[in-house]
Amino acid sequence: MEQYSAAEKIYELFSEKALALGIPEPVLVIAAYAIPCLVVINLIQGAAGMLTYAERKISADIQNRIGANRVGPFGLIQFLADGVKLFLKEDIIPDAADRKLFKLAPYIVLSSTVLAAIVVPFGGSFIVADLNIGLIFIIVVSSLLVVGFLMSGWASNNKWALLGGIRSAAQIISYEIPTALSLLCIVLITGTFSLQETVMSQGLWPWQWFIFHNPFSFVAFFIFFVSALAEMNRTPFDFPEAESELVSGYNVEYSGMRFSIFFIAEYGSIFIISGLAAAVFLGGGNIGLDPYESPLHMQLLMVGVFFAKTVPLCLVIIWVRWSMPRLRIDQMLTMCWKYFIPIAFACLVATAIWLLVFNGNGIFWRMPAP
Amino acid sequence: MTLELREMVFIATALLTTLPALLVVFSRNILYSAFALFFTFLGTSGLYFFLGAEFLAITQVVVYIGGVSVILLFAILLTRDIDEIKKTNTMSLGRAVPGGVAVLAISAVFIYAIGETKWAASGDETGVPALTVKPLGDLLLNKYLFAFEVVSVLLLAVLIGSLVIARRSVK
Repeated sequence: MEQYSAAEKIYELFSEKALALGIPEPVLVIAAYAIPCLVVINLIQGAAGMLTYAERKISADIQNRIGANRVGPFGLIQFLADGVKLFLKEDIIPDAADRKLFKLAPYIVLSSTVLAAIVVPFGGSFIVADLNIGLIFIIVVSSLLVVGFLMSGWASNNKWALLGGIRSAAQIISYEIPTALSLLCIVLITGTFSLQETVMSQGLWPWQWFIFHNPFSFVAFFIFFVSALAEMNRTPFDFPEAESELVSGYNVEYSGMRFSIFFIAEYGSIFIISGLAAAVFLGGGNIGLDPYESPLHMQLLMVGVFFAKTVPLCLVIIWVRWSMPRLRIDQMLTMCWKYFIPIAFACLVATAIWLLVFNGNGIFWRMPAP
Repeated sequence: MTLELREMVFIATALLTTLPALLVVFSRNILYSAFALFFTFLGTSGLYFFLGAEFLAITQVVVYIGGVSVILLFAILLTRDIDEIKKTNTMSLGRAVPGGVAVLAISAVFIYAIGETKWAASGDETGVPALTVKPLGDLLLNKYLFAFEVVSVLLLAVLIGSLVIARRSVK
């Protein structure tokens, strides 16, 4: 079976017209591959910008303040103003810092986030590449973050930054295990790692989603969501940034645009993790039609359905941040190694047994006829 | 000879693999070596993608970047007695000569193997599975189940062994 890729689709659509216009073949190929990349990078940045706005507004509401309301209607384009401000800031690199690694680190962090977006199905045929290893891919590239954090922590030559970097690396590699295990429960059900196929085997109605497939996948969803919070270093697991102990963690010495790249990556990964949760557990953009064959307006409707599931998840992540205190670091480790990993393993084994006993069927979900 | 786009991307990936590998060996700062090794692993995984072995490529990233290179970095960052990081990976004649001899021997074996292998003509894709994940899973759980289980027992033993070594002795 061929793997779907947006670049090849664009190439097929425009190759005849472009060749008739006399555009040379290599230019066309490069354009076909560049367009989906640019769209995804900008989507991530746009989503990150809107999420910073949402974070400020929601935190303001929770703390009984007004929040950003000066730039544009309801302060909606505040994030653009922030971006311009960060662009104009002086780019300070500390004298004692390791200049090369200091400059390289933000790009590794950002590229790990953007790479993860490649396999996220945004509904319909809007997916950059439907790799048949999509789910592992997304888990793996998010572990590249670790290297970026360690690099920035070391290069800053600052003990708070180093401690923050090491903490965040330890946290990410611990919480990767429950995240991956809870996703594997769903892989057992579908028998594929491809995200688009995972979405396609669910349906429009909630009882066709994998979160309600069996009691264990219901538990797996929450394990996944909480471990993903920890992987993103969000409160209640924001030890790498713990202001009261570490000032600001691995990014303490950064300023200007390099600083904001870390934040684009953080908010971008909130969006991607929410999208992943929506696609794997909540049916993604599935409205019961074939995503590749449907007319364009139905595909756009699928995108709408996808975002209608993703945005509330993003808002929950923000809401959790402003209503929970930070755990202690030993509590965080206990929670991961003594509770989450055993529970996730139990879910995995129990899902396997469930599938054996009920012949692949869920409570409401039925195995499609071969 | 005109270069195809695909070949240019391949050359870029190969350079991403080999140039950091040189830095790994010749950098005098061991931390630079470790970070360069990270890029070498990324490049190797890219080469596997080129061969159409996606699962192998992604396993390469899991094991070598998620595991090996992070452990290396941890080990370096948590080492206590590094006074001057810039002089941690020094080269002496006693190490350079055996190292060089080993490199020459291994590359001779590789060049011999490359010459002996019967390469399929490009475009001939008979016997190359389009999907690698499913056949691999089938093989691991049917034909090679015993070897798979033996390896997993070995890993378990390693895990328990490392815990025993790392454990503080309780009096």
